Amino acid sequence: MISRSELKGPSVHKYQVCKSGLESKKNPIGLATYKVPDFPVNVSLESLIAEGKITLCSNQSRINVGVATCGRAAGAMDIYNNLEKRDWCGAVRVFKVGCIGACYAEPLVHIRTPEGKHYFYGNVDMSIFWHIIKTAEEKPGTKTLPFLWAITQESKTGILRGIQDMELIKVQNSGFRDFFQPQVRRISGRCGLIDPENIAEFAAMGGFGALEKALFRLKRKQIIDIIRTSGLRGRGGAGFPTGDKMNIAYENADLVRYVIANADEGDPGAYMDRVLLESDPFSVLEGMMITALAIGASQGYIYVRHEYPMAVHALKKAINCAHKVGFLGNNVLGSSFSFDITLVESGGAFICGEETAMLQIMGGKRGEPQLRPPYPVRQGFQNHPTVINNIETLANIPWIILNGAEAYRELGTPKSPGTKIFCLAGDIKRMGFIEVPLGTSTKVLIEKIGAGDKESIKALQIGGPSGGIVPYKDFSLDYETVESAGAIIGSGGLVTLNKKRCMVDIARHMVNFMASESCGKCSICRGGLLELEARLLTLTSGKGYPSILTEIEALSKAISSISLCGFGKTAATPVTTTLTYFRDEYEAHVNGKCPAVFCKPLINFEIVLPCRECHACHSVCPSGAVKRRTDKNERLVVDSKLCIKCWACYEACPFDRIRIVSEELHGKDDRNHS
Amino acid sequence: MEKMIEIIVDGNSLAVTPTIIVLQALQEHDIDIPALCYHQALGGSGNCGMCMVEVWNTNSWEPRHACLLPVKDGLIIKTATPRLKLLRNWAAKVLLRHRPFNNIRVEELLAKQIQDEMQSQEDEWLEGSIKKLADNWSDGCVLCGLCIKICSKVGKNRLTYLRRGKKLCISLVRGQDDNASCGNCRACSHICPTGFITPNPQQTFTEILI
Ligand SMILES: Cc1cc2nc3c(=O)[nH]c(=O)nc-3n(C[C@H](O)[C@H](O)[C@H](O)COP(=O)(O)O)c2cc1C
Ligand code: SF4
Repeated sequence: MISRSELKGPSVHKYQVCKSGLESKKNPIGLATYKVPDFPVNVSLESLIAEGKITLCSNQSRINVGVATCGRAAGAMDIYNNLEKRDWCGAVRVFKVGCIGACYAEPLVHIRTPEGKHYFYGNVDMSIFWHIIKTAEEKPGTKTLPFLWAITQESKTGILRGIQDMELIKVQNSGFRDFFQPQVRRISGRCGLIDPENIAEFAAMGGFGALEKALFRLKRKQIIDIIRTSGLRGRGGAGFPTGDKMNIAYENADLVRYVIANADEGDPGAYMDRVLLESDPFSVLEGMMITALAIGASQGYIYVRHEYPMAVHALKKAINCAHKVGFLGNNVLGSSFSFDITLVESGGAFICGEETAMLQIMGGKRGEPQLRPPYPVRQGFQNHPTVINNIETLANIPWIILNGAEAYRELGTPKSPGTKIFCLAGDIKRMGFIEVPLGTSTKVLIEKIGAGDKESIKALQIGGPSGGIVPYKDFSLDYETVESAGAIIGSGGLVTLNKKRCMVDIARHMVNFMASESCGKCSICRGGLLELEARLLTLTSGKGYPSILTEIEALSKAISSISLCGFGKTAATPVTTTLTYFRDEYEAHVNGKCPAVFCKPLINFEIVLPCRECHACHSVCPSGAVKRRTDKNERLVVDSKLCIKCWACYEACPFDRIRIVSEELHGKDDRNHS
Repeated sequence: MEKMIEIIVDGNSLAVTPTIIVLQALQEHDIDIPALCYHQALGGSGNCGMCMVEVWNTNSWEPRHACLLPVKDGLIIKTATPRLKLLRNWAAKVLLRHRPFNNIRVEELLAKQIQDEMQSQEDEWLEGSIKKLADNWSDGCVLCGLCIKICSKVGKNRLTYLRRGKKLCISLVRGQDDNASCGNCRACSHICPTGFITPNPQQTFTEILI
């Protein structure tokens, strides 16, 4: 049993790299150093829960250091190593956990004391180690520290099912409260509280309860009906009803079926799949198992991009661990259901996340989307019915099974029920990973959670590069409203753009990304996007001509009508939406002006009087463009021929006497506003 | 003899065999539809985008590729609407960027689809920036992929696309020596619509897989 399960660990990709299959079987790669806790095979859920409670809610203090990718980038490993090194005399244990979502505050450290109090510390550095140590060791007199962000108390000491089970008792950092208060952590509640590699802690936090219910108390058809009535919609982009998809596979005459989890998250600005996989991989496995049980699949695949090394690592460990305790493999939990999961590492291109391209890659071919129909749910992997779901969609399933469809519909709007994870990025203060009910207003997300400055925000980019850019106003974030505005919720990336950003340049940037990522099969998607990029470049370099906007419009239409797959059909959306909402900016560019004073070829720097002649600009200018005028009164001027528009003088001037103008003094220096 | 079905093209009803695609049906009835990347033996691929037709779909006209659309009884299509002209105009423009072609007839065919030629000065600037943006631009090849398909069908299956997006190119997977890499059947140079593959694939496709 054990030797067999060990073979499941390495991904297909790794096997392929090996010269022969035999070799790889002798030497399972990447597993040499891995030791799972020594559970007897086929442990019961109860004993797993008991085991998990020992570490999770023990009478020892527990320090959690968030070491997901975001934490590591902020130096969390140093903090972890230092805390771990310390001799705690058995009073405290230090754990590596995932991310609770407050990515702006990394590194994050969180302490649970035996009486069920949780202390949160954000932006941790070595200087506050002493306070962390004292809190963990429960020395009195250390409770009112300026570095402490919040204290929460478990509603019932010893029972913790997620971050929503805690009551706030004290907040020192109001931003922390604003960040968390509007959120509802249904599916990401465990993230950052449990050790992602420990299956027992997952079980102790309510994990696998749904699987047990589905296995022993529900019929397969019932599971599908619950998902259907819950109204869960796919979180991967298109928003297709998940229950309907399961039902199509369930009713297919072909009895060989597959489940594939799509973790090829390619949208710049979206990272919810990564956070879920790094912080709570078992919930995804549980969702997959329930889906497989419902549709009758016995083999699943997780397709994950190799640019997510930590997610791959977490998944490998999770799959191994689940095998060892009998939650994967033959006769899951002693039932008649057998299921196995294989990891497939992808090359990581945006187009490879498209389901048909993904199936091509899994078949060993080039990642080219195929014409649909046939849809994968009818004829997918190896021509068998295949349910392909996004990671977040799968993570929703256990919650729905456990709590029922009605409870799920309590939040959200009638057509878009439930909660959705969004990733906030761009020109806001608090970036991160948040979960809110669908239909929450943008005002709450951007101004309250993200602490964006209302006055300075110009636009929102929703749904990644193939989503849309819409003007910032207060609207409800649900599938219908966002679609009617011309964008899509997509995977849930939400990039805030402020008034300093030039919309034409942003559109150019997006089209550049799409043109580089197209698979290139359709000449209109490959070449047409290139034409489009060249035209936008024409605008941002001040070479516009009168008919260019009609050309851009017609070209965008041609790209979306002729392209074969969803990529090409949506690739021009950033252009069409900006052209609808920010047409004046485009028109200004045709006349050689950039209202946001951003496009370098269209702006000039000027020194305005009274200048104090401090020569700060002169000394920083790298190209010698700031000169003393020789003819009249010898004042300093910027020679526009030499100027490379690096903004150095603007930033150096202590008296704000540098003005940026875009031809004919249009839109004077918007940079001052923010 | 198979039973014929009926499709309606531009208001005229045509009797066609049920197993073919719309493009074949149109060609059989001498309705002129430009198509570059289609070959009867290889089926449609939807690559060049020239063969667009409009199909009546319950309540609206939808642009579709004639080379990928199987015929169906009662299918209603249009082959020359202003919208289709515009779509073909852009598809042709994109392909014509790869000018000059060795096969002058293709150039003429595409040029016929262009509705509005831009003022030459602006076009020059655009052309320059497009070639700069796509950093390995090949004149004469429209990357339609017919050679790859035919090589996998009748040849040694040695041709492939390399990279993606702006950097897409076609490459020959070389063996130890020239004999091992290509069977010299010249199928690719016969099928190439633009006449790019001369004198042989070994000398044409120099890009190598690293
Ligand atoms: C260009 C393109 C990229 C896509 N990328 C992803 C992706 O990264 N992750 C994902 O889950 N779905 C992606 N999709 C959507 C998938 O094709 C598919 O619809 C989805 O995985 C279905 O899962 P769902 O029903 O849970 O949404 C992409 C689609 C397109 C057209
Ligand atoms: S639309 Fe673009 S990405 Fe999709 S198949 Fe065509 S070339 Fe590839």
